[in-house]
Amino acid sequence: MAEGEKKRIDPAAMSKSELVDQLNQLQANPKTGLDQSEAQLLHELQVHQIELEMQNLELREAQQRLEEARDRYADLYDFAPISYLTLEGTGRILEINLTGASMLGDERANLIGKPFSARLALKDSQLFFLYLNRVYHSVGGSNIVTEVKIKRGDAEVDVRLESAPMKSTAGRDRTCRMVMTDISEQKRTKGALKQTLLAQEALLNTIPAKVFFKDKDLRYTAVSQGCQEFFGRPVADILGKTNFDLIPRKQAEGLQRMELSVLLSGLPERNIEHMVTDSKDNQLFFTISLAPYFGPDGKTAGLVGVSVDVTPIREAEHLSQDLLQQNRLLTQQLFSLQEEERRHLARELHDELGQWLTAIQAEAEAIRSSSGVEREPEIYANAKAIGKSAAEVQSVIRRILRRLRPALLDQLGLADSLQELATQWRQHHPKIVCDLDLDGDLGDIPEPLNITLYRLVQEALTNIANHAQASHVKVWLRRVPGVVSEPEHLLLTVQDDGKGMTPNLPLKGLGMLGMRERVIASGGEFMSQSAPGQGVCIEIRLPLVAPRKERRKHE
Amino acid sequence: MSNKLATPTSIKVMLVDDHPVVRDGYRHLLENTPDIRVVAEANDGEEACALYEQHMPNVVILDLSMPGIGGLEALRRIKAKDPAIHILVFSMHDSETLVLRSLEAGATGYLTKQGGVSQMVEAVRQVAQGKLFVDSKFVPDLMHHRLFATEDPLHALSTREFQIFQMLAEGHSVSDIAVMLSISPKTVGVHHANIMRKLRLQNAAQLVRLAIRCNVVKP
Repeated sequence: MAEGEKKRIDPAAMSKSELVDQLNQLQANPKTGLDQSEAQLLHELQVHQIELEMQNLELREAQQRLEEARDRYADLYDFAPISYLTLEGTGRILEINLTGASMLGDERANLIGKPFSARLALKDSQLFFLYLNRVYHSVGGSNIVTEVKIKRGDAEVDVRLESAPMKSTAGRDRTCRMVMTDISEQKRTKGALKQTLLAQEALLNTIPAKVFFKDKDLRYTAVSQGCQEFFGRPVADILGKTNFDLIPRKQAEGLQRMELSVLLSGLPERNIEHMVTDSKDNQLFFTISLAPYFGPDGKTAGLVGVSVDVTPIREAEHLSQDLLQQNRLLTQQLFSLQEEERRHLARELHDELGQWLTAIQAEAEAIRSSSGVEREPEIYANAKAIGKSAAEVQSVIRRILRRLRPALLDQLGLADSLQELATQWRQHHPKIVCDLDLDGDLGDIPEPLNITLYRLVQEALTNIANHAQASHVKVWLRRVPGVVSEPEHLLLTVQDDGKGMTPNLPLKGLGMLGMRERVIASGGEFMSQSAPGQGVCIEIRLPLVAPRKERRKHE
Repeated sequence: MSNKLATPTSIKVMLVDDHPVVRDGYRHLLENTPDIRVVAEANDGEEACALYEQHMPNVVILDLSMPGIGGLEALRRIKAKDPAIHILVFSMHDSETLVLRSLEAGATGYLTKQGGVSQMVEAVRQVAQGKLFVDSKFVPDLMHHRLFATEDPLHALSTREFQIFQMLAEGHSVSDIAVMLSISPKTVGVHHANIMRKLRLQNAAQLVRLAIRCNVVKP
């Protein structure tokens, strides 16, 4: 080719492959004595070669970085805590990350290309195509969410699916990306919460008390069946309302005060007595217990209340009080009847039988003394026998009389009678010291009190002798003059140093019980103190009502 | 039966009892004797006071349990009118306290209706002479009473009892005494009980009072 026509080589205008070809050509045909243009060209080419090699190096580095990034993203993809899947149009799995595979409980290799619906619980698998359809038709490619159960081994796991269609690429069917999240824990918590709520509801409806929950504004948030009956309206009509919407203002104010104080103090209140009027205008007595409950922030979120209708208990209390009162009245009558009857019996025995026996004795003695043992020995002996028999019977009567009625009470009064009682008791229980102290004038104690006091001391001493194992007994009866605050009364203290008894046990036997009833029947007070090994101390207070100077008693 | 007249030497008796059959029996019994005559019979205390002045008996046989003012009050009233009168109480009650109260009120004798009848004639004769006559069964109990206390009541106590009596009177407690005498408190308690019973004491105050009276302790 001609020199002049020689094609001007401009490396800058050459493609990379042309440059390489040119360079190789030049190096393969080394020419000695290159012309200037050739030398120029060679130089440029060599410069290009160096540049290319440098570019090559950069490219390799970039490729390595890309590979590293790809690995990193693959890791991210595979080990992300949620499952990623790519599904093709019919629902076959195109891609799935490792988390997804483990969520489905299988190897990735076994999953690729298989229909995703096969991994769903039967019911969900039949409906899965509907979901896919929705995904592919989603407006603007937005996410479509559903919750299904997947099979994992024998178990079923709740998962949430969130899918969006992918922009279709040429030659490919439509595909979608899917994110799968395990929500079984969430579901369990939800279930447990629901169960708790159901249990609470069941509790509220079963409990015989009125139970309610209120928010901070004292609006009902949950109420028991009992509340429904009390307010006379359905639960739906109570929730969200305050007491002011439901009951008379005055009562609502009373309740509000209590409830506010619990809300403010954050401290529970128990068994507050409260009277309210129900929807049928019945007056009812309640004991209410209130307790605050706290929110997650630790602040008072509202309160729970339990209100028990104690009206029947109140009524029963009143009834039992009435019955007790009647019982006491009856007991009182019984005591006075008993004493009256004894007195009557004693009089009959003394006046009728006793006097006739005395007469018989006197007559027998008269016959005996006038007959003479020598003159009429038989008559003498018979008269003596009659007198002896009569005396025997009289002794028996005397003993009965002593039990029926302390004769001294009528003859000499209370003080002498008690001293005689103590003297006799000492003779029967020689090992026990018995102190009897009498203070104040006991001479004009009116009749029912006289015998009551006598019987009380008698009963106390009998109890001590039978049960106490005491070595020392103190009986102290004193008349306490009336003052402004307290009318005149009698105080009887009986104290022993015996084995004592357990306090608060029901009074055993009729002894103490009888004493207490006798005291209460007389309008007095009965107190007993004891502990094992501490002896017993009985204190009795009897009011001395209208002590009149009674006519001398006679019999 | 009472056809015999009262002679100046015979004992004139008034019977006071609200039961006529009893009075009949007494009268039959007393009038069997040569020396006792029933001069009056009263149905109750009030009548006794009235009839007393009318008949001036030597001895009044008096029941205690009667309607109206009763025997003890009648006793006091008659005794107030005539301190020299001798009254023999004849009662159903065999209480030592009643015996004492009757004697304190001025009675000279006390018999009980159970078994006392056989002693009645003897009692009337004794009482008429102003001699104390008390149903024999009361005698041991009454010996302690100061009405009868011819001797120191403390003689009834054993040596040990007297020792404890003295210590109690000085104000020592049972447990103190037990320590001082080196015996158990239980034993002291038994002695204490015996002392109270033997001396007819009702309480600690009476014990101290008796101890002072008998010069066992200084007031």
